[in-house]
Amino acid sequence: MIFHPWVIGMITGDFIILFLILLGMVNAGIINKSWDFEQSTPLQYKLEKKTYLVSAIMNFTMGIQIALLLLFVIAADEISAVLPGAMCATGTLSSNSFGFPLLFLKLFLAFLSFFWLIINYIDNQRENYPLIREKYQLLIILAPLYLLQTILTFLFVSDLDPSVITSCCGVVFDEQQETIGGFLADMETAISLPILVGLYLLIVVKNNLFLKRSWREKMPFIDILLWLSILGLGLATIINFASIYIYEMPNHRCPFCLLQKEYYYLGIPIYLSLFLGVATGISKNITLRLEYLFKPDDQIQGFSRKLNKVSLISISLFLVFAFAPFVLYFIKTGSKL
Amino acid sequence: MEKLKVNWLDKKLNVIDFAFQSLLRHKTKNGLIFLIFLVIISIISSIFFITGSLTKELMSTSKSLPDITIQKIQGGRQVVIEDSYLSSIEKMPGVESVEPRLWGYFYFNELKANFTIYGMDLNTLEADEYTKIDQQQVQSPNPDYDMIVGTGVYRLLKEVFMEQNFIFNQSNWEQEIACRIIGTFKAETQLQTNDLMIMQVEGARKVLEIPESTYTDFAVYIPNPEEVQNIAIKINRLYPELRTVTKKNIETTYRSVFNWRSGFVLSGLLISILAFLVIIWDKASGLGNEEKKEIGILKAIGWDTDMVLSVKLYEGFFISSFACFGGIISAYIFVYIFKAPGLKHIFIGWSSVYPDFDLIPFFDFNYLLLIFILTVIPYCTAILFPAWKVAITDPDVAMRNIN
Amino acid sequence: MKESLIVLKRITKIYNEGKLNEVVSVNDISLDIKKNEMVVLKGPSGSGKTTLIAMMGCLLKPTSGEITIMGKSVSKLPEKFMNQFKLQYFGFIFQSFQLIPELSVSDNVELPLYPLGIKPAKRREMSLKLLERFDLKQRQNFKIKELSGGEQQRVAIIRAIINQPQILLADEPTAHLDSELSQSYLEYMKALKDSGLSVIIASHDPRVCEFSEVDRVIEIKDGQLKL
Repeated sequence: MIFHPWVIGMITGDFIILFLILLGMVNAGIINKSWDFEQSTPLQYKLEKKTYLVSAIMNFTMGIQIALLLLFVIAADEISAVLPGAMCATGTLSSNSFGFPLLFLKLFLAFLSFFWLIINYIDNQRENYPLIREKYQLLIILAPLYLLQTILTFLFVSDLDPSVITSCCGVVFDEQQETIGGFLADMETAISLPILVGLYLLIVVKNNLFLKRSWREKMPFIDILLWLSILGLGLATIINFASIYIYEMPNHRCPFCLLQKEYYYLGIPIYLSLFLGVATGISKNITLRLEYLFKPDDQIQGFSRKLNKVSLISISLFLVFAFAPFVLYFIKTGSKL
Repeated sequence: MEKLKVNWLDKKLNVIDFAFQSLLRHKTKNGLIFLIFLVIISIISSIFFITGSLTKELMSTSKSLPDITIQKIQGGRQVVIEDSYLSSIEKMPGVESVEPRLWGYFYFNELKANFTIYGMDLNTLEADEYTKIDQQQVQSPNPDYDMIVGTGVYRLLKEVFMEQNFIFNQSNWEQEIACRIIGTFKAETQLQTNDLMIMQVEGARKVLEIPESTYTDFAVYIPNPEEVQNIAIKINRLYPELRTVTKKNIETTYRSVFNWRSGFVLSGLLISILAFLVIIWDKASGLGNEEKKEIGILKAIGWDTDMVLSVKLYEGFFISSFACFGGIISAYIFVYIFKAPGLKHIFIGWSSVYPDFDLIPFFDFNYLLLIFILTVIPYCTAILFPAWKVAITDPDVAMRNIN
Repeated sequence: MKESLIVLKRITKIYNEGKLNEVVSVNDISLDIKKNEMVVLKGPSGSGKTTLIAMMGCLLKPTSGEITIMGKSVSKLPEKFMNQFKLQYFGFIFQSFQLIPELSVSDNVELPLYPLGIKPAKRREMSLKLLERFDLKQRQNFKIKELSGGEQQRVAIIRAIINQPQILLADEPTAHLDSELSQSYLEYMKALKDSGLSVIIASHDPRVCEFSEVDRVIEIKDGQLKL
């Protein structure tokens, strides 16, 4: 199994990311150890220069992490062809106990890296880099998670066994099953959809650009919770609602098949809009929390406003994409599945 | 004192503009890197194209494979299977039909070639399924020994002047068997039919020395794909001496072989990429004086480290991306227009029977991403640190040079 | 009284501090340059005037002391912010011009505009205007190595002023020029001063020091002000 080209791609990518993160972490540690902004010593100048390296590394890593996330899903799909019982990525991921945890870890790391980059950007706007210690400490915490990602990838890949039968999405997301997959599939759309729309409206109204700023800024923690709920419900909706109408089959509830060519890669805008919306929505709150460092600096307020706008547009697009298949199906056939 | 308002998008475009210009300015140095990388990438891409085409061809031909192939195993080896099994398997629910098959291999010493012999009733063949050959000159022996051969076989037989009448003989036979060749198979999936000789059942039996009432294997056809696995298990339980091979087993095995082979070659190539990148890193780290001076000047007139770093990274990105793009196109041309000489045989093996057959063009965007991750990303990673080292050049270097 | 432009307070620059090859290039210098002044830093080579002018132009950070430019303390600024400063207010002319030889004239003079996010069409417009003013328009596509010394000198000046700075710094501008070119150079400096710029020149050339338009000559010797 190890010599499958997609497996090689996954391992290569993970190693590259690990290498970069370690490089970043080492430099972050060096910087944190001796950083003293007040000093004008050659050492301090050297450390300042190192900050550029760490920024560049993290920006690059973020890009790779997203690419690898996509690669992971595609690889799982391609590998399914040689695993008995698997017909798409779901089969591959459920063939051993590392598949889904690895997927969630990759997603989690992508989000964390995004947040780190936001913090980094904010810190760099201020001449004295007020957050430098904290942000590099965060990086040092992030590094072991990337190591975990590489280890999990290895375990996942070496555990892939073409002689063991695995289940397909029809089974994993079968509403009769008592698993998480089954739970997601079984969720009563009559309840979950209105809740999703309700949360969406709540977020939009709360963060409406035309309201006074003070309303928008209140309750950042609640805001974050709202966004996380939207993320969870959004994913559930993709599985138990949107996918049915994309595949036009009531029992095909796979969250991965819609990323394939035969469904016109519809999954990409759907997932992209959801993730971008949630990521920017949460980042906006992080930015607001850090605003105390910058009053009265317009640049940061402008930034949080931009994030807000992007998050609202993105999540609106997500709802459009998620409901569109249903609407189209309804128009076409006049009934629902 | 107002803060400088700079449109970040315009600034980014300027950076990209400068990076591109900078690449074109150092044509020889960059051209060499570009070329080497392009060659490596085109080899990788060729592998993917070939594998993809073979898989595609496999998938299209496997449609005609039986859902289950039943063989009899004795002492760990395949033996002939009695036709007494037929009725009970035919009766199983879900089974549409069971076809007993008679076939085997014959090694022809003079040509050092292995032929596949398949027995069937030639009269059932449609006229357009094979090309008839004019047979007036040859005496008309037993029609039981008429045969139709694949074009590759025909080509070979012509070399030994046996294209009209083929003589089967083994050292332990009392008498040789002469077979009249009455036609050749049209080559559609050349890979499949090229070493094939189709004879009447009785003739095949004699040549392959298969006793009466026995066959090589059974082909079972099952209309509902979901039931295949179950029926295979049932047959196994009923008759432990029989081995069942499902269509998916065969597909999976072939895929695995292709994957294994391509993965193996890929690993080798990755090592060469790694070596290439180590050299690149080293090269990029050692700054030429001219380059150092240029960066110093840029820093002195107001370019900051971020910007210089971006320029260097974009340079690397452009070189590797263009090499990637060019490599993929070259590979496409190499594989589908020049038929991939040499490389193809790693996958399909060498045999005097196989002529140049055309690979079905295969293209998938997923593989684009894979190639990108295996080439452009490692390259940009390799130049990241050296680019940074260059970008932090102090602006006073510009002044220092003259002192 | 004229407004202060650049204020140096007890500026010191030490290279290789603490090591065997330690060099004190600038030692405890305090200066106050006013707006629209033409100042010459006079001193022999090795006196530290190049280092001093580099620090004034934000090309180098001092080891100790404070530099205030237009009221803002810049000595501790990280590079990014320092550069924003540089791009807005400074123009620098180097001793050997330091132009990029493989680039054309217009490409060279437009370089300071890239980080300002100025689009290519506008960049071209700005560079052509200045090239015309300095009578170099017909040379715009020539490579630097194809130009004469006098032409390169003008290109260096244009590059230094294309971002419409308020302060122009020049390091030994007449070092490689004959008397005619030196004179025309000084004429350019005069014209720039007349248009509102402050000009600071580091030089030991007597023609520069005795130029009529110079408001002040500050003598530097061995890294210190010679009073």
